[in-house]
Amino acid sequence: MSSSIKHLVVIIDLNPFYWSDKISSTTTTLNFKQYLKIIIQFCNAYIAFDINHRLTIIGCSNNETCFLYPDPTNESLIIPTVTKTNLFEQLFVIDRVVENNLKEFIENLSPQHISSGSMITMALTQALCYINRLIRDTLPGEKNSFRILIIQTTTDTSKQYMNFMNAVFTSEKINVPIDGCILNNDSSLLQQACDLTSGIYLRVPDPNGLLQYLLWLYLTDKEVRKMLALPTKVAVDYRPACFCHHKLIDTGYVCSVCLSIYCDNTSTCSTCRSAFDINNQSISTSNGITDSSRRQIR
Amino acid sequence: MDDNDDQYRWESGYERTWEVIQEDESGSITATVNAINQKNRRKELAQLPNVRLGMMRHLYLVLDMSDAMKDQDLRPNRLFCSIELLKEFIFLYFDSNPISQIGIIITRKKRTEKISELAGNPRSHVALLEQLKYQECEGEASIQNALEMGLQTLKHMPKYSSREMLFVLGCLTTCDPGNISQTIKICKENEIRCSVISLSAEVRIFRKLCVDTKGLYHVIVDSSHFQELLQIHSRPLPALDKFESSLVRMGFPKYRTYTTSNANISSTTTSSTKHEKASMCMCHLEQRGGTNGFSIGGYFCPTCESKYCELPTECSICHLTLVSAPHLARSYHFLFPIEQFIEITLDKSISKKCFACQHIFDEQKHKNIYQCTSCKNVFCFECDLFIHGTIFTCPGCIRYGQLK
Ligand SMILES: [Zn+2]
Ligand SMILES: [Zn+2]
Ligand SMILES: [Zn+2]
Ligand SMILES: [Zn+2]
Ligand SMILES: [Zn+2]
Repeated sequence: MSSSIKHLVVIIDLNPFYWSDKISSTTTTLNFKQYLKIIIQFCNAYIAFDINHRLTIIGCSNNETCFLYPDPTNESLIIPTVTKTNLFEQLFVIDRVVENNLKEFIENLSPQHISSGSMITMALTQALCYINRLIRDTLPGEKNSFRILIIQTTTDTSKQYMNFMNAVFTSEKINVPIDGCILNNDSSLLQQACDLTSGIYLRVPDPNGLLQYLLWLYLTDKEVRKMLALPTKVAVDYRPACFCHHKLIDTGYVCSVCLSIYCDNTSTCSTCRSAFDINNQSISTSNGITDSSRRQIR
Repeated sequence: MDDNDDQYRWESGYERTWEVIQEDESGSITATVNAINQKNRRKELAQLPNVRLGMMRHLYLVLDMSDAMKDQDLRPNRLFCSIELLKEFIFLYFDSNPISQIGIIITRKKRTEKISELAGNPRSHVALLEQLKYQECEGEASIQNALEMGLQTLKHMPKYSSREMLFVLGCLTTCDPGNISQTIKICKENEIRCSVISLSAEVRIFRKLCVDTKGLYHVIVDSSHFQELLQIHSRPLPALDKFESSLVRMGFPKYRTYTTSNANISSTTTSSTKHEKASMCMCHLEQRGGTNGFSIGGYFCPTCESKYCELPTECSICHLTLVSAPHLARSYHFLFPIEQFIEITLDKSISKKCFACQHIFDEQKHKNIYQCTSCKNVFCFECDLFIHGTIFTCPGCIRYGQLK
């Protein structure tokens, strides 16, 4: 067996927005407390699963992120050992550290501007920087693998699109798959992230079964996944939203200077302030056609 | 040398370059060397904000295959080394300029030969380059013929795109049928930007070509310098003054498919049943024989419904450029570069750990830390480089919404 270290960074959405209407409702749906419990259970399972597993947990709310584990003030990772008593100790440490940090984090949440979006992108860029440092610190000869799991409950914020995609392209470049698990409606951004980095995307059909889904799909990495029956892949919608109305379009007009996308002809580009000559448009298309026809004749 | 066109290194004043390097107590120079490297890396990443860039590029690569390319000053020889680096360049080019095109021309025996037409698929170009490795380098190069050949196609390319030629030359001479100055003038009139990477030494006519057409002229020092120069050329150049802007109509096709494991039709498709049959894609139609391109799924042109297996491409029926949103998003970081962080000393910082990687600063290792001017968070050196060189997003600034 190879003894390569496997790092998992779990990004948990802790925005209270999604849970606010679920406190009063009947006991049949998952509430915030159960949600946290399930995630801790999953993290414990991940650590107990393999001696080479390492874990990092990042929480994010509507405007803040926090490294919940390992404790930022205590940098040393506690390495699990084989003996049973020690293993128990390791899990105990995780539970305590996460519990303490979580409490502190939630108490410090500013209740003033609770918005429906979360700082997933911020947590993701921090996770990438964290992984980048771990990669830099890797000794020659060691073969470590890294993976990011995003557990999201809130809807996407279109404001974060560009930053989020930048993070996804980075992840693709440094070969870190992003897995996505969403409790709410389908997230197009998360879907694209998983597809581009060859991670697994899942919208949990029944929140009560969350633990089951987490253990089924996200405990293992690429090699083991080949042997699992995975959810059928759906075609990802890669259509862009126009910059002017934020609606998805099939065909559109792209500014040749800055690549901004518009759903209709405009006279100036709102991003780079280039002025367009409407006549110019027709010239450029006819040019393209004559050129290609010329090419075919030859 | 590149910064100052009028003066060569040997004409400038006497410099005591070794005095910059200082030994520490133990006699080691690693610390100073590291500091110099750090400074250089940061300088390299400093981008000019909001320069208008030529994001759509039409580029002809001209590869010298004259006698001079057999020289072994690059390992294993000039041709092999150039081809290896150019392969890398092509992928970098399409990574930075997702909707641009490239074509390849070679020159030998006083003639030129077009290896590939302007096209957008990196893999086919790389395959063609690979084949060139096994061809003979012979005779002399002809820069004029190469210019004429590039000119023929490039002058028909739309004005809003950046039209360029990049020469990789080992030769010190050019054997031309006419007056090359005349051809350079025509290139200049047509706003075709010519750049030269010379593998041997500076040649006056090559420099003149670059200066006149507003291109870049470089002579390589070694193969790693060669690689760096190609990286510079892979990034979009600032647009020329007379650069026209235009709106280009593009299509964003949706992928439609059956799932492969069990023949369930994926639920996302809203289309009628006509696509749910296996069919040929337009891009593989011309290569007869074989089963390549015969599949169930594909990208369908939104105007004429013809099928393609890869993006980006140009629809061969209605000439619509077909791309996907991530293709465009990949180059947005050039347009919205984040500002350089400022260097501060550790004792001036409130936070004692790096905002991004959570690394706790220690007095010895982190003499200088870096602060974002807009969100005021502090970062370690590694994260500063990673943020400006790879992510292109400041983690702290995300809180304030999209960058403007
Ligand atoms: Zn619009
Ligand atoms: Zn624009
Ligand atoms: Zn079409
Ligand atoms: Zn850092
Ligand atoms: Zn910032």
